[in-house]
Amino acid sequence: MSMQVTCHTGGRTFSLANPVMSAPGGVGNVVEFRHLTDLTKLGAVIPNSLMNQDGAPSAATKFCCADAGFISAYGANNISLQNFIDEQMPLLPDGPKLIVDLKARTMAEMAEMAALAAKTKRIDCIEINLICPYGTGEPAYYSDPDKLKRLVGGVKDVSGGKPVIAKAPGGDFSMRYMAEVLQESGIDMFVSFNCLNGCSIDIRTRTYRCGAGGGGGFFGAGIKPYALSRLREAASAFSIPVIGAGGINSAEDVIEYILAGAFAVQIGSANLKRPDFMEKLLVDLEKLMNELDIHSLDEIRGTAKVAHVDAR
Amino acid sequence: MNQATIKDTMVRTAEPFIGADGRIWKRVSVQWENLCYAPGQYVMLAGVKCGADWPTPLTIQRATGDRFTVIIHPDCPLYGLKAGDAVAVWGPNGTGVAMASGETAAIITDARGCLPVRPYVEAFGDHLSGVYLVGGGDASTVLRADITEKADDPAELKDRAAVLNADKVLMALPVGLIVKWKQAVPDDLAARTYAFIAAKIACGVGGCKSCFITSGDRSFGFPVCCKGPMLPLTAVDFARDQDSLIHYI
Ligand SMILES: Cc1cc2nc3c(=O)[nH]c(=O)nc-3n(C[C@H](O)[C@H](O)[C@H](O)COP(=O)(O)O)c2cc1C
Ligand code: FES
Repeated sequence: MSMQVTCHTGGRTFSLANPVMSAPGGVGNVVEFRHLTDLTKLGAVIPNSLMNQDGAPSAATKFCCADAGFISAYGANNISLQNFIDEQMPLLPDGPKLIVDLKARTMAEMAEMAALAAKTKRIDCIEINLICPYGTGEPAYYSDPDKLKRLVGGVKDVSGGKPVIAKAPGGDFSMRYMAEVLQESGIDMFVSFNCLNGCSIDIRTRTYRCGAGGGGGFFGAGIKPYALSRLREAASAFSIPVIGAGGINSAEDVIEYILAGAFAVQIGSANLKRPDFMEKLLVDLEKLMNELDIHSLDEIRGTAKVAHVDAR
Repeated sequence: MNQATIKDTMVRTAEPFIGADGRIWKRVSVQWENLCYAPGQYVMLAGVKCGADWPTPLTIQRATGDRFTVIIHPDCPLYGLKAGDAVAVWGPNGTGVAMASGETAAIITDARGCLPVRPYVEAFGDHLSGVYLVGGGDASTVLRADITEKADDPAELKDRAAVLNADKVLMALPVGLIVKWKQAVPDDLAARTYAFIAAKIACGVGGCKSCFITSGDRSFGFPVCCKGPMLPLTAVDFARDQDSLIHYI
């Protein structure tokens, strides 16, 4: 039995020791969790999105727990890529692949950061955050096919052969359109989900519970059915590997995502339930694979069937 | 500093008692051998399969032998915990206010603030120059200390010798009252004052940035969950950060 996952993309073979990786922000800049969990066990780690310059977290209440999830509105709680490389990355253990998710205000900024990531040996993959341009109030590049192609092309040009991943923006978008444009741009992998919009009101004080604007991104168990169906759509629309995200809280959820076609999975808010969440998840995943007689995750990928009613 | 660790453990006892507000609170002990902590540190505690799986920060009230004790308010999501329940706990988190030998401290709290200050009341012993309760209510069941004096407003206490001469003043009050204190007292007393900063804490380890306050010289701010929760008054810009501070329990 092996938890290793392997794919072929952009003319190369790409493997992870297992399919479990942190989602950007799920374990902060990763190093904060290193005393409480064995990070070497993970397939890959992704720190919080990184920017060109250190950001400034929102001064409003930044999160609230919802019945089946977590609403967050952190603002620019992101440090710069350079700061990460200089101060945090040296503290990371060897082992898991390191993917950096880049948040940029302009296309030029995205390409500049990608170039820095490409020449940094410890970084294995570059993830473009499609919430771009970030924080400027301009329309998202992804809604214009030419701009999206230029955004991805600018990163591919400087990526030095490292795989380039695109992470879905928040909210709704056409998966077919995204697949068409991103694949034409030469993207190597796609992350199928980011977040939904959410808000919550304290009825006693009649105030929104978090966020400078009264709301934020909604993640967690409650969004899993939606996020899983988006992964399924993405796995059929894209011919490149798709990474699933959204609402993953158990080993069962991981198997579901793989059966729906995920190459690997990103875990976000579940890490806030306990800092060693992903380490425990891997123990459970191994047990579950044995119980379900699954020898390889690569073998079961995308094999979920639609149950047919027997016509007789 | 005590390095935080994570444990899967269990609730040993959950004893109800009448709290400051006349409601039924719980004193909960959790199995943990020889927990080494400083007064003012806290644990993150999550119920496993009890419907409260998002963790809650809880001040460590006491640790003896094979367990530590926390106090749970009836509005806390963990209120349903009972003896035998499985819990995940990580800590000790944050830092306590260190006292040099021979230093004295005065404590100013409202009835709800008694939870974060109680470990200091117990630890300081003879070095406690006074415990002041602001805004009514009765916190004596939790504080287990004689209240030196009650006041409606913390500013009324600024001329008391036990406060003026204390090396440190520790307070747990709503933001409005902390600000009032800061404005009413001389700068040197403000500089000796530490306030419980009720930022919302999600991870407790400095990772998620939920509790960051933007005060200080770095625009990125700093984590209350690691550097606090009791912080020097001079380190916090309340005008800038008050929107992210809750009225704590
Ligand atoms: C504390 C926290 C911070 C996050 N920060 C970012 C971020 O900086 N950039 C980003 O693209 N997504 C961010 N996310 C979203 C995750 O990367 C991921 O898309 C989402 O959490 C997946 O859903 P899940 O939480 O249900 O696993 C954050 C999530 C959490 C819980
Ligand atoms: S609570 Fe997560 S950084 Fe402080």
